[in-house]
Amino acid sequence: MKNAQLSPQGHLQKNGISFVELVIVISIITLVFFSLYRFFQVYVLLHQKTDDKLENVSEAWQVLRVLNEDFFQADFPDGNPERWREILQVESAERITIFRRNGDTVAPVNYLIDSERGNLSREYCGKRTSLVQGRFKNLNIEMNAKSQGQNLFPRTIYFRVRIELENPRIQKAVKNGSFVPLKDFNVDINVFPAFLNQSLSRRYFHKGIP
Amino acid sequence: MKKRLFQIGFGLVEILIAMTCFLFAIVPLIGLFSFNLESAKNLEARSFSLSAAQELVNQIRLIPANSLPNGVFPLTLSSGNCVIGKGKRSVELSLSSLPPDFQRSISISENTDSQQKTLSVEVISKLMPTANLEMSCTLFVDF
Repeated sequence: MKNAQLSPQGHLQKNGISFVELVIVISIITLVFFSLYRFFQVYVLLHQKTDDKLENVSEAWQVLRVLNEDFFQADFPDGNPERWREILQVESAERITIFRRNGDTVAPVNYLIDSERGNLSREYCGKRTSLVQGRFKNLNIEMNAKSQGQNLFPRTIYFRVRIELENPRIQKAVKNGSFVPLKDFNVDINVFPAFLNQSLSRRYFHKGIP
Repeated sequence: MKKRLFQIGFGLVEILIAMTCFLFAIVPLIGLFSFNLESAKNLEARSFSLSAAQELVNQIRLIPANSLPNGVFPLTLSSGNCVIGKGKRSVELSLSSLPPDFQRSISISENTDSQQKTLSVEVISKLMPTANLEMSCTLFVDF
């Protein structure tokens, strides 16, 4: 009992704290700090998870809106319906071209994919616009045609679109510590452009509704 | 009484009360996180419903209304091509893929004057009922 002495009243009085008390106090402090750390870690990750989900939905819809507009205005090169196969050109994994109407002419719109940086941008009439930054994974556009009977000329043309977006911040968090990963956000949609399908029967909106 | 005056630090009861207060403050915050995440999931599911419904409406609008069959057609396929109706009044539809808990159905009804048809597309999510969606439009019959 080195850290104990008698008080003037004759009671045994303790000076300072014992080793056991010190260990208990340190354990409680560690536990409290660890709980707080874990709590804020989960808070930040959940916040990021929510943020990633919302950003994915809004950015996928932004891409879809722009694509819809381009498909709506899509037209055959030289206005010749026989060249319907040339409306969409997938030149490489980094570039997709759609031919769309620009006034009286038909101009290409390029979708440029930078898979290393996760960026997607759109180039039209020399102007480049960034659509998705850092979270873009893949854009797949496939042109399909429906024909009637043995006629090879299509009755309806439609585009099968798949947009894949990933969650860069949450993936980073998963790599750093144990946290439930978030699934990639994929949107699949078949786009049926009205203008283009009218053009198949040589009825053009830009020349006035017949 | 003298002994109480010399007492310093916290007692067990005080610590328990403090911890209970802390828990009461923290629990609603945890609920708030899960609520945020739930609403983000809901938004995601609604975007799936909207794209599925829009795809069907845009597709059916391109088909002449008088060749559309009347009735209710549940689309059981999750993706690919499916045929609704029979004989001359049959139509082939292309469906994009949807998460497995989603189901879509089409309802086409003819108005009493037979000059218009009403198309109604319903998308139902089994896991997220708040994402259920119904989209209707009127189709004009050529005559």
